Amino acid sequence: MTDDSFISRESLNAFLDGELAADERNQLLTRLQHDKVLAQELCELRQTKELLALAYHQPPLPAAQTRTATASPPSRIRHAIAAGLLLGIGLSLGWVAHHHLADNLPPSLQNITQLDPATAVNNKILLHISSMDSSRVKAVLDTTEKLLNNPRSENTPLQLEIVANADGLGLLRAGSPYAERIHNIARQHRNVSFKACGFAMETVRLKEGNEVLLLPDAQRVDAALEQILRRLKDGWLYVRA
Amino acid sequence: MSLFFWKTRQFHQALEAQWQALYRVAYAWCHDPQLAKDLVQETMTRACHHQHRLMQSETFTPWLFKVMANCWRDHLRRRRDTVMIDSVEIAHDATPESDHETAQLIQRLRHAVAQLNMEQRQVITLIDLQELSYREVADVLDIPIGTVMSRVCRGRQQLKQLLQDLDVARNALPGLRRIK
Repeated sequence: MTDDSFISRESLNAFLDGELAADERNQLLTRLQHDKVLAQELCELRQTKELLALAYHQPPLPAAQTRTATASPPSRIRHAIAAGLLLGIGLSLGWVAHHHLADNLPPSLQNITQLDPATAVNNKILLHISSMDSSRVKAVLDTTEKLLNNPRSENTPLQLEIVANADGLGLLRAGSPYAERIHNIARQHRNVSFKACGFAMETVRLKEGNEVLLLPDAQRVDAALEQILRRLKDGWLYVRA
Repeated sequence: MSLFFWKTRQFHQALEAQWQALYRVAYAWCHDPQLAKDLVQETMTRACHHQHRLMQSETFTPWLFKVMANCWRDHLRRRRDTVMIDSVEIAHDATPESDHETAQLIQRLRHAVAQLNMEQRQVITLIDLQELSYREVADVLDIPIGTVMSRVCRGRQQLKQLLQDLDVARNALPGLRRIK
């Protein structure tokens, strides 16, 4: 793949899904920095991928199980509404982060650390994690530390929020294997917060029969998707791990 | 780790932990809550029955989805002479709030997914909902990896177009503007 060579849609999708080999990925990243059309196409594909995940985040349960679901009041409905609004935002905004990164790249854990706080329009970033896959958790925490420790952000500090839901809730639960690292981050930086999805906590409580406890450095929010929606409306940069 | 060392109890626990993930993907395939539940149930029954065929616990999740894909294929074969699966109406949440505009957007998005052919729908949902790799999806559906790539590509392209055609966002959140 030379710099000006044709990039197939298959390659673009493979890049999006993390399926490209390292050298191809790097070449594509270089190309994306000056090819606005390609970057826009990647943005739209990424949007489509995210929206699909949101559309089935809380599928309706069969009639016999609906009673159980509605026992935890309006969370499910709120989720649907939040997801719906996110659909709206996604389609109307293109991809919010486009505006904030120096290049035309869509936001990702890989490129978000390139954000220059001194020149960025907005220094508010939300990292969303919904998995306990160790490589993803590591990527989120690594990115968090890199962003917070960026010397260029001394005069214009970032505001960073990590939102965990679904399986990612495990990151912020009491007894999390990442508790010490999270505590160190929270102790050293006041401009970071860790938010746990209340809906996910309620789901786990119903399943396990016990109240879900969080790390001392984490706070509960009603629903992750609502939180994301709020932040997007306030102009935050959204990055999904 | 060989399953020789993986006790049945651990297997059942692992199976139960996958219920939600299986249901989400099953629902995305059929858009019928009762059918999705039955499909997951059948998958779990078959998985228990064929537990000995699982050689590596590390490949448990893709193996489980392969079992479900086989159950789904069998179901489609059985129903071929009765009703087309895509003619099933997509279920709504049975609540007053289901009239809400945003809930309608979710329905429309699911309708857009329902317009994909089943081959594309399966590949895309396994990748985007379950986050399986291309190789794993190829194994689950028993197709070449190149076919996975082309189905992802065509499916996403079609879905993207369908979402653009919906044009649902312009009045959803006034004040937001497109940023290029």
